Amino acid sequence: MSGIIDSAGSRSGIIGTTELDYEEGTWTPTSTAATSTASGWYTKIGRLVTCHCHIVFNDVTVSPTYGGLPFTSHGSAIEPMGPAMLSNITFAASGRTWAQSVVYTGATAWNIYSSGDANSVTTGHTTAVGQWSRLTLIYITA
Amino acid sequence: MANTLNKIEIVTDFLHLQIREITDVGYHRRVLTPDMTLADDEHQEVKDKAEELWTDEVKTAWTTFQAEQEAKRNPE
Repeated sequence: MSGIIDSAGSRSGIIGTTELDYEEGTWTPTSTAATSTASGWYTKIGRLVTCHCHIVFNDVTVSPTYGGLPFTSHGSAIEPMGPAMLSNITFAASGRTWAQSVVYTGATAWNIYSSGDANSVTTGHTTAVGQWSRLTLIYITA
Repeated sequence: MANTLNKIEIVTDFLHLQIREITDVGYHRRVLTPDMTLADDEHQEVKDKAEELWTDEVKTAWTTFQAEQEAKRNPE
């Protein structure tokens, strides 16, 4: 598929003849933890949305929740995962070896999951002042 | 709201309001769901749409859906 994305300087348009809409812009990630920075960017092509965000925490919160996605996710999709890079976030269980972002079904909420072994996947983590998260969230819109 | 309201999209059975605004640097997106209390400085058109669409039945259905999803996510 090829095509021109609208005119120069525009941020939305139509690609080729299939009329997939293209849009890019900003969104504001939200958290039940206090933040000093919460910024996000998105690109949407058709129903596929790729979001990036950067959050710097400003308090100690146990098991915070997150939201603010720019589009509601598809209601019957498997909850999709994306990469997450975290600075010294304290997880509820020891031995965490990886963390990823997960977009919740039919919602604008998401969370950070970590795992240490096959039977222990959790969202439990604790923030602290100055710690940060950088994440990518990829999903299909409703 | 300092940004200019550009578009309101109504999505899902729970009548989420997908808001697109225009800022100095391009588009900004946010979604309002029936469990939310809208800010006093929310765009009046958005307030009116929420008032029109978010009936008690819709709010209850959305709450139920969220609880169902949470239960699936974290089974006992």
